[in-house]
Amino acid sequence: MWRALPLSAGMVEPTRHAAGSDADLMRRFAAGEALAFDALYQRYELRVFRYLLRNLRDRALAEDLLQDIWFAVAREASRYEPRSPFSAWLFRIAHNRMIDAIRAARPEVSLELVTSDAAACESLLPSVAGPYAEAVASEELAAVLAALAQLPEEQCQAFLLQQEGDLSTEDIAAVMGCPFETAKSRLRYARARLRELLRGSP
Amino acid sequence: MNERDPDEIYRRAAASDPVRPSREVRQAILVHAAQVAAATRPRSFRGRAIQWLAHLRASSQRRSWQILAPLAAAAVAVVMLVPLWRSPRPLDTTSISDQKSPVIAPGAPTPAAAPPPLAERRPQPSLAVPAASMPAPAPSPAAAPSSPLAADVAPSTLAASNARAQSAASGASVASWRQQIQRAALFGDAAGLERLLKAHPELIDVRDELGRTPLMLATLGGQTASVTLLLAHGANPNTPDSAGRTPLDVARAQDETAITAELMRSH
Repeated sequence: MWRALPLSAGMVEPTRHAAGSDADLMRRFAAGEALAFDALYQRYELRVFRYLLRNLRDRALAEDLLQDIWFAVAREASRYEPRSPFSAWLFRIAHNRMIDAIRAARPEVSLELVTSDAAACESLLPSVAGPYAEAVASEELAAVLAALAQLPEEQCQAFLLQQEGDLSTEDIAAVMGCPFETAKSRLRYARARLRELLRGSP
Repeated sequence: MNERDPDEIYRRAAASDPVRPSREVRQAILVHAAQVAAATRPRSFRGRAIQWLAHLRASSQRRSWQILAPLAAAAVAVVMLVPLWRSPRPLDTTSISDQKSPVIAPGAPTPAAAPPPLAERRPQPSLAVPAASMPAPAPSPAAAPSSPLAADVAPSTLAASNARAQSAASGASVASWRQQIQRAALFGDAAGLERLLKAHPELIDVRDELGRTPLMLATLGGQTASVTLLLAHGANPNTPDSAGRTPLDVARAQDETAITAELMRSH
């Protein structure tokens, strides 16, 4: 299995091992310590990737976006201010890039439709019954992925932001650009729907 | 699954999900970050202090800059005085990392390539500028880097003879050469690496703070050409890093078949 590479750790004269809070790691990276980025990347790589993959269900697109997102994190590191959690900042970038990619994939669909017509969105995305789902070994995982694919897009995004980003409802509202109550109800409906969909699963 | 919490089900399912981004994507991200870090890294003690003060000033604007501003002013004064205080010292011993002698490969021609005694290298006071704060020597048009990766190791693209001369002129330290060799190995600048190794063959197995040799860094970076070159120059393929991993261990873990084959051949 691949291990994260502390690529330029030794060249930066690191004064301590790359551990600490996310904000501390960002500050150290902004000061030129590449090892700090490596540690941050290890923490969030899979979370961001799963968030993208489960929303887009397109591995190639998810990988392209993952690279784009982390390039943006590296470029914007000096502008990051730890007033909000790093995870919220990171997932906001991820969410915005993902929405841009979805819009680019269906330019004829208006933003209102994108955010309100879940069925239309679903029809424009690849089916969950693709190679990814087929490769899933775990039955439970396959059931969860199938259930997520049946959620309206915004509910799926809100649920995944909470699960993968470990974000609060306030942060989810900020990332999705919606009122707090809307984010809260999206989460509530997502859970109720998932509970219903998973009831008969193994 | 019945009435179990969807959160719990999702977390368990996610933990069992084997999906990972490809190795190429990870490597591209980490290499890019390393380049960004190298570009933003202050080159000197004074640069670091100024960057720290800038950070402090930004914080103070948000909170209580009236209290922190005098501290910042005092720090600026210290920063301005330190180079004067340090000026009589030789340039290439000012870096903290210089205090640690590089690990030299057994059999490397150290006596011939060793720098002259410190007293002979002591610069004139007018030249007493910390080495790292000096601008990197501009490469000649013929040796200009052809890729963004090469741009990070621009000094390494100089001819060996010019590099030695400029080293003396600019006060480049052993640490500087060490870093250039490490970067050239990591980023696959084979031409620059060859010139650097010709100029400083004693640094073939020099280690970084994590005990990694240039051969290990080239392996980590997946740079087959660097690995081949380093082995041809006598790099020791059995030197473990501080975690006990040899380049061969890393190459196998990363499925670097070409590098693994090169390392196996040299065993």
